[in-house]
Amino acid sequence: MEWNLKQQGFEGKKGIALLLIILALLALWVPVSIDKITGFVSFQESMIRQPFADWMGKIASYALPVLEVITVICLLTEKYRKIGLILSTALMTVFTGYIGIALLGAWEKLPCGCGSVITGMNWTQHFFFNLAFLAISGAGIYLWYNLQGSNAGSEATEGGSAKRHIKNFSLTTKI
Amino acid sequence: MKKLKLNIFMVAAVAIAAVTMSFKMAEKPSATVGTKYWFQMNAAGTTPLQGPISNVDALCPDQLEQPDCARLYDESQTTGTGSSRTVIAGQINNYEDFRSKE
Repeated sequence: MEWNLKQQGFEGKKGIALLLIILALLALWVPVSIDKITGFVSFQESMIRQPFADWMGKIASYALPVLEVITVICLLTEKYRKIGLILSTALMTVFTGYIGIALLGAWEKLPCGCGSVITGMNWTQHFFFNLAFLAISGAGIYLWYNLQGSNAGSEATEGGSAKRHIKNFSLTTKI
Repeated sequence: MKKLKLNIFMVAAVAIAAVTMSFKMAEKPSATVGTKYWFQMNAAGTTPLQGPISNVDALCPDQLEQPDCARLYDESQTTGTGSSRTVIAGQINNYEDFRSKE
């Protein structure tokens, strides 16, 4: 068995940083999406109690778990990892913005609709938790582009040598 | 022998999902066996009133900063029965969940 990390572009400090970021995002989105799906009825009720129209709450109660599952699938797939990072950032921007606006007192009432990972947090703690994961997602996109750029550069300097490709292909960490 | 190549993220995601599901399964029996009670707080929002409430969502729908509308306690943190059930003095601040006044 071998972890094909180098083939997937996780080389050097930046590569390891991106790897840790994706693992952190999976540690967030996997439990959150499982919680929403397994506790869908209570999640939908809490969405309907949010301070916007009921029909919007219903749509959001279906859209959010679907988007979270798509985010997880994209993060797992090398081809769609960039989309996963962008989706993660977009979802976190929406959640953080929503809580930020609420904390500024835009709405009189704000019932709790927290997932299992963040149960017990108040809205301020929830805001900073989301802000941290927004920064992590943003850093992931930055590193992804950075690594794509450096990989493209190294390929250009190395040329299309078949020998070198074979050498790179075998540089995997065996377990 | 053909090498088995593993996607570290797939392995991590499956492990996270398994841990999450095991936590959720472990939570369920305790939620059904150990009874929890919501207590409405007094006007100052500091002391739980006598007698648990059943309609916490109607009385205290919001969760903001302060636990001053209602608090959730485990049965073991309370004493008495029925409408005379009260929170043990030393357990007042060890609530499991809370609701805030508007």
